[in-house]
Amino acid sequence: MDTTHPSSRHQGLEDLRYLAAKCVRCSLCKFPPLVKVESQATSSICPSIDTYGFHSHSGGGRVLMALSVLEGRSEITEATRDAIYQCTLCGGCDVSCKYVSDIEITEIMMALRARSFDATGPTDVQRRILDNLDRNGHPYESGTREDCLADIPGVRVGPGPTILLLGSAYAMSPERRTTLRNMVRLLGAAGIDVSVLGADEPDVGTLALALGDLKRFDRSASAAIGMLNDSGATEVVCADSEDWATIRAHWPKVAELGPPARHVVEVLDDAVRAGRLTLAHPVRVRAAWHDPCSLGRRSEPYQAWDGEVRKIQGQLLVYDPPRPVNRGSSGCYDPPRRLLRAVPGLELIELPRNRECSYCCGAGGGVAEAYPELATAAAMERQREAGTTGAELLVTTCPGCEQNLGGVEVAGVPTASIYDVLAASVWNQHDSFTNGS
Amino acid sequence: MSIVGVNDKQADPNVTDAERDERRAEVAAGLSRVVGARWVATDPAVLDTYTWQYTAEAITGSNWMQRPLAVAMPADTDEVAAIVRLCNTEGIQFKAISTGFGAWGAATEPDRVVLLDLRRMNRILEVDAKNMYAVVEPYVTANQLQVEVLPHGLNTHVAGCGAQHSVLASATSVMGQGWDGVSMGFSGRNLLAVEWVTPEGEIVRSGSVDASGEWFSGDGPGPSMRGIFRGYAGAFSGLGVFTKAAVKLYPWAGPGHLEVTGSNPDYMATIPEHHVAAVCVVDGWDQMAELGYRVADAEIATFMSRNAPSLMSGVLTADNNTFADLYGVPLFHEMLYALVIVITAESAEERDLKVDMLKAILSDLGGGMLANLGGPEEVRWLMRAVRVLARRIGPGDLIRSVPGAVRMLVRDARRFGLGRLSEYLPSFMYMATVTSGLNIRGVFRFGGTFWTAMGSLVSWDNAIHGAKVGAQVKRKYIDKGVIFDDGADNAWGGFYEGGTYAHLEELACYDPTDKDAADAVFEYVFETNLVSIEHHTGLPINAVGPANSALFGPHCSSYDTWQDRIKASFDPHNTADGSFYVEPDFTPNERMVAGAENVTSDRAPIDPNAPDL
Repeated sequence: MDTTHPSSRHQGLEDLRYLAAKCVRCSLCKFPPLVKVESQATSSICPSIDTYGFHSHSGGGRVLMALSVLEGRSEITEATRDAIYQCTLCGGCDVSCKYVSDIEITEIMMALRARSFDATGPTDVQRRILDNLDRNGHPYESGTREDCLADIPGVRVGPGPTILLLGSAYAMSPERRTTLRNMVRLLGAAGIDVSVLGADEPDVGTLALALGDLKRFDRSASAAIGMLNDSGATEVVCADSEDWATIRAHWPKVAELGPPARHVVEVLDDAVRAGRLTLAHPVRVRAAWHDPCSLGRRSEPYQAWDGEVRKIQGQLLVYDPPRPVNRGSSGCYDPPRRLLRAVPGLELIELPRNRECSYCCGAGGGVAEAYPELATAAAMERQREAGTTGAELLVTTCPGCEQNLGGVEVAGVPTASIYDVLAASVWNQHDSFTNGS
Repeated sequence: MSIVGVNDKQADPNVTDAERDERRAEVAAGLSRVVGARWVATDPAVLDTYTWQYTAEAITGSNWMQRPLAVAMPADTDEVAAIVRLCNTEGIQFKAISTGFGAWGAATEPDRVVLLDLRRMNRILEVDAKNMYAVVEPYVTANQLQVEVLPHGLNTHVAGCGAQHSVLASATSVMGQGWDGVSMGFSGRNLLAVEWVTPEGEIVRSGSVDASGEWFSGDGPGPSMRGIFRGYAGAFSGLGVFTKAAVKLYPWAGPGHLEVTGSNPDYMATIPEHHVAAVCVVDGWDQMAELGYRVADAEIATFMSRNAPSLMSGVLTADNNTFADLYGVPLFHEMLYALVIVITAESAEERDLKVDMLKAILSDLGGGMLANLGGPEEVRWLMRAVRVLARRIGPGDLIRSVPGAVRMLVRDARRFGLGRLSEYLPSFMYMATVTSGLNIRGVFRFGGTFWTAMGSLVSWDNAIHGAKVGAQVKRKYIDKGVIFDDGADNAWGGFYEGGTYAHLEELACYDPTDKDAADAVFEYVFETNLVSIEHHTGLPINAVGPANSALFGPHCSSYDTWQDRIKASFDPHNTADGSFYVEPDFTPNERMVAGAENVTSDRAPIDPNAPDL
């Protein structure tokens, strides 16, 4: 059975077979593009293989597992399923492969998850997440949007020209409320009149997609798109980077979102550049920027391709028409950097692995919930990397990254949200992260 | 036969699935006692990630080799030795891999081989900058070692397969030619002292490390086993497991870190101040031979290689559609007789001297070059190269080249910016040459995979002779549509140790999922091996494994009989999987036999004095 849903444009394993079969098992998916490697310590791009070791835990390995399953050589056992899901879907392997080839590793891994989900159903942890989605409208055991709204006073609830999608990770986490409040205040200070949907905010479908429950994802995405299209909004602003990646790269497979969508950092960057938001107060800190996978390489817009593979000159494989390929470099990389550079006194440091070669924090793809050892190992690795740069602060924007990187401090580099740093500069407010001075 | 003439055994029909599973569980339990259960894999889908292999289709007719019994990941030498002893006790085989890239990293008999994935052994143990060597564990890649030693003013040899290869595996167990051979040799020549777990599980330290604890020499003081355990081509893990190795390092007259800008897939290296990357163009095989000899004699090149136009076009482009566009430009398509040369220097004076010598050689040969010379000199030498090519293709094709060339220039200006357009080609050649970081583009991407042929370490003249006759064999298969038509010329190779010898492989690109192509490439490799004997072009790069030993041994001092004795002496129970070395129990499968018969009944006509392409 293949998991291709006629109503959407998800590609099933069979659809992707022609790309999977191009894998030559070269292992380049385990490293950043080799010309970008600066040291042995930062020569990996894959948290999964760093943690579990076997080739099955690399991008290429999962492509080969997909082929094995597809060809009926193996069934999806419990061990197979672990190998499939012990991955943050960060897309690092995809970038590296596409430096030299064009295999859609992330798409294949997601199709393999869909196959696994259909064949074996959810794991116990996944079942709990899905039950929470059904019961609470978000993947967590507890929390309501009303509680969240009580913590961000002044925000308008209901339809409006600019809808801010809060997502669940910020909204349901009491630890992230200060950040969320700062984000909303910054938007207000920039003169952007946002409204939130409150209890009506739909689930974007991010976790269902990550777990391979495509039917649920299609339902969630379709409902959310319909609601936003009918809302009269002229713009959608997304707070959660994971949701942002879903909206950009996967919603178009389901339906077209009418109003244009942007991430909050893009909106704030525009405001600062236009002089509508002033970063007045110095924040004297050496800050390293962590590129969230979901804001960067995974947020490249979906590009449909309806063509065929042809052979010319005997055995040269070409696409007719040429197939557009996302290679990670068109993600949202410059806006957060411009914002941080605009903060007086802040020295921005680049981590050795940055932009499309960023090393994942370990939280995505359902990993934080199901495989905490992987999430912790990845966060520690990224923290160690930050520690080698002399950074005093590790700044990021994705709530998963903030939570996961902030949960380990092996190198003595605290983690902060970019909104807290910006708030410190706008209002001389330094209570929301520790190293600002 | 050829390298593709290795065992392809099928499962024993007398063993039931239940018995096989029971056996697997027993072995896994034993392995778990050594390395811990976490580091043992037996799940079929997980094992299949070690079974799908590059070039498998030429051996088995599918992309799959044989599934191993289990995969174990030892953490250190003692665990490796314990696993080897366990395999001896259990009557099963083992094979060690690092990245495990290629059919030789897989099992050739189902459910009998334990693969040792050495990924956990990945430390650079020592960089002795003063004595110019490094000691590494198996999973240290060439890329990792290179970026760690450049800041010391040193560099390491990188094999042409790509810098993700294991330094240790390449040095101890395979050939390992690369773009840097003219100054750094090939992998086998860089091996110093070694720690080796023999096929019976004994830990041996070979070379100076045994006597002194230092790793500076492969041959003593103390016992030397290099000639035994690796010899010319290596044993592909057929003689045990190497757990530590020292390799030579070489002076690097460059920065401690290569500056690379841009974004995927258009990264561009900034060529260091005193370095020059040049594509040197002459007209004809004979002139290319002369160019190679003279540059090598002048000792001005740190890197020197011959790259066919298709390979260069592949490196320069990020996808096949763009490649086809570039390769279709006659001016570029005919850049047949060219060497990529990288000059490194400590100072402007040294660089200028070396560049002047290169110019003098090219002037003598009527050649030109595309190089980062800067200013009018760059244009002047570029125009000389264009003149060479224009003479070859004639006015008609020259005019026909214009639209394609303009299209490419516009596209590249968009990619890199107009200001960096002139840097583009030298920069990409520099990156490919110095880092070996984008080679997959050059050959794998075209059809999905490639096989190689010819490529012995011989004199440069003989290497060119091999390329000429190899191209004639290749033409037969291109005409059948089963190999990518690269003009029958995709000869890639380099120079070794000052150019005293060289090699040129004849690469054949194809779609591995195309059964006709997979069958044909087996025949292509076999036929080029026959040609290597008949036309005296030396022992091909792929001449390993039992079938080749039988084919080439009688022509080469009966080396196969010595290999047999070594294998029997050190591995009396045949515990180390010697599929690609010595296999006492080799039987060709039906497909191999049929392919060999096809070749012998339909040989490509070869003219040893054929004119230039």
